[in-house]
Amino acid sequence: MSTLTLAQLLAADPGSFDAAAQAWHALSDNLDRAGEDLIRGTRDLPNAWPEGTASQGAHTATEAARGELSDAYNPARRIHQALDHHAATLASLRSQAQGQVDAARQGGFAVDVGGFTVTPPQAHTELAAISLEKRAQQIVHELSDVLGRAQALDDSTATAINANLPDPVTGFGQRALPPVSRADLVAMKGRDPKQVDDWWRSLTPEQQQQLIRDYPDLVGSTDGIPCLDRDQANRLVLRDDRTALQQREDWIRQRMAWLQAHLTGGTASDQMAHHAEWARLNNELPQVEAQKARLDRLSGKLDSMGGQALLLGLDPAGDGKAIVAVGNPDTATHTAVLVPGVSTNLDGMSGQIDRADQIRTAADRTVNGPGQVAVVAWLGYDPPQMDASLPTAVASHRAEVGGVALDGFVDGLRATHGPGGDHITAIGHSYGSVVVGQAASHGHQLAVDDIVTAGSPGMDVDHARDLNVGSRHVWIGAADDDPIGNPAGHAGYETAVPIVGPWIAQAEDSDHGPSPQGDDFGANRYHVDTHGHSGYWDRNSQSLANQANIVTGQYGLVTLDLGSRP
Amino acid sequence: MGAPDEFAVDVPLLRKIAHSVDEVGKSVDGAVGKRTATLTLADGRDAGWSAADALRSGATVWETFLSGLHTRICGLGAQLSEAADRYEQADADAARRHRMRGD
Repeated sequence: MSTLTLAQLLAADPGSFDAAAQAWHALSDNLDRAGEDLIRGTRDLPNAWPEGTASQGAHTATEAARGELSDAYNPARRIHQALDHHAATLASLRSQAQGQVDAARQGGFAVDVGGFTVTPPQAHTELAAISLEKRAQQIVHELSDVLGRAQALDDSTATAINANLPDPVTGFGQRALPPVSRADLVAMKGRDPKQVDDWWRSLTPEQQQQLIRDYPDLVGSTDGIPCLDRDQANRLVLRDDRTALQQREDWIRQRMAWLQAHLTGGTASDQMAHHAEWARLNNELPQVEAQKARLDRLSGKLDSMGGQALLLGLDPAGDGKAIVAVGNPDTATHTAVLVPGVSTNLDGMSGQIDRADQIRTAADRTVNGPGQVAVVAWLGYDPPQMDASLPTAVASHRAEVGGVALDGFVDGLRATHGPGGDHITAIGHSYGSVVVGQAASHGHQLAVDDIVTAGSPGMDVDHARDLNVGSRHVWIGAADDDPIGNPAGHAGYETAVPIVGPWIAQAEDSDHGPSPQGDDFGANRYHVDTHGHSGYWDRNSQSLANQANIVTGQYGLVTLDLGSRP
Repeated sequence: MGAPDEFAVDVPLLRKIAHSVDEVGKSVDGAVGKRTATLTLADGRDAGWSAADALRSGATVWETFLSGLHTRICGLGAQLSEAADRYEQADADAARRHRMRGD
C-alpha cells in the first residue's frame, strides 16, 4: 500500500513520469520493429540452410529469439501505458490538491502540508468558530480524498510495472502467443479505427506478421491498421492475384490447345461441347490478360517509386480500386488525400500516383526538408466510367458510397498517425469533389483540416459552411476553360461531346448543387493559371503551388481570387 | 554448431540472414544504450512514490534482460555467419581438390 503524504503529492513532478513514459514508448516501438525485422530477416533461413543437425539448431535458436523479442513488446508497452496514465492523472490530482490548499489559505486557514493539518482562522463568535472548524474538517476531508486517489494511482502504477518485469532466467518466455483467427480480424473491420489501432498494437509482432501472411486482403483493407503493415499486406494481395491470373491464363491456353486438337474428334455432341467451351475460353482469355496487364502496370509503377510508395488498398474486382500513398502518412506532418473523378480506374492509377507525386514534390519545397508531406492517390470508390455507367455521374449514389469509405479511411489515418503534427487535406478532382462533399456533410464528419477542389461540378451542398471544416478552409479552383469546373462552360458539352455531352452538361448544371466556383457558395477561390480539366497539377504552375501551400498549411502564400484566409 | 552438413546451402543468403540478425541484435543494444537513462526517473521529487521505486528497480531488471537478449541475438548472428564461413571454406577446399585431381 502506498504511504504517500500530501507533501509528497504536492512536490511530485509529473513531467519526470511523462519523460519515462515516452522512453518506454520508444523502447516498445524499438522492440516491435526489431521483432518484425528479425521475422523478415530470417524468413528465408529454411531455404538458405535446409537440413542437418546444425541447421536444426540454428532454426531452433532463431525461433527462440523471435519469441523472446515478440514476447517482450507487450510488457514494455504496458509499462508505457501505465506511466502515461500515471503522469496525466498525477498532474490533475496535484493541481487539484494545490488548488484546495491555495483556496484554504486565501480563506485564512493555516495549512500544514507536512503534518496534514488545517487550522481555521481566529473567529469572533463561538458560532463562527464552529462553522470555521467544520470547514477546516471539510478541507481535510477533500484533501484526503485527493490524496487517497493519488495513493491508489501509485499502487496501480507500481503493480503494473512489477507485473511486467522479465524473469531473471526465462525473460518473458520464448513461446509465441497463439495465432489470431480470421474471425477476430473480421470482427475489427468497420469498427472505430482508434479501436482497431489499439487492438493491432496490442498484438505481438509475430501475431501481426501472422495476420498479414494469412489474411492479407483483410489487413490491407482495414482502416486503423498502420500504413506500413497495410502496404505489406496489399503487396501480398497484388502478388497473389497476379499469380492466380497467370495460372488461369496458363490453364486456359493449355485447355484451348487441347480443345483445338479435339474439335473434330469424338461424337457430334462432344464436338459441339468442345466448340462451345473453346469459344467461352477464347472470350475469357483477353479479359484475364487485361487484368494481369493492369496489375503489372500497378506493380511496375510501385517498383519505379522505390520505397516512396505505399499500397494502402487494392481491389482488382470490376474496374478496380487502389489506394497508394507517396510518402508515409503515419509519420508525415502534412497529408493530402487526392480523390479522382469520372473515368478513373485501376488502369489510370499510374497517372493518379504521378499527380500525388507532383503535389508532394511541390509541397516539399514549402517545408524544411523531405519526409514531412505524404499524398495519397485515393481510388477507394467506384467512379462512373466512360461506358454504360456514365449516366450515374449525374447522380450521387456512387459519391455517397465513396464518401462513407473516404470518411473511414481518413479516420484511419488519424488513428494510426504517430506523435507530432497531423494536418490533413482532402483534394477532390471533378466528381471526386462530390465524394469529398458527401464525406464532409450529410451527417458525416470528414476528419480533415482543409478541403480543396479542382474542376468541381458541385459538392452536393448549397454552401461552403455546410462542409464540416468551415467555409474559410474550403478552397475552390477551376480553370477558365474547364468545361466541368466552370459553370460558363457547361453548355459547351451539349454540342462538343457526342452522345454523352448532354448527360455531362446536365450533371454540371444542377445535379450536384450550385457550383462551388460561384460567389454565393462562400468558399475561398484560389488562383488557377492552368488550362482545361486536367491541368491542375502541371509542374511549376500557380495552380499546383496554391494546392501545395494549402496542403502544408501555409495559407498566407496562397494567391486568392475570392475569399479570405483562415 | 557442429561441422558443416552435406546438404545444399545457399551461402550468400545465409550470410545475408546472419547480417540481418546481427543488425537486429545491435538495434536491441541501441535500445538499451540510448534509453536506459530515461527508462527510470532522475533523482528528485518523487520520494514516497511506490511507482518511482518500482520503476527504478524494474528498469534495472529490464536492462539486464535487454542486455542478455542483445547478446543472444548477436550470438545467433555470429553462429550463422560462422556457418556461412565454414560452408564457403568447404566449397573452396572441394574446388581446390578437384583442380588438383585435374577434374
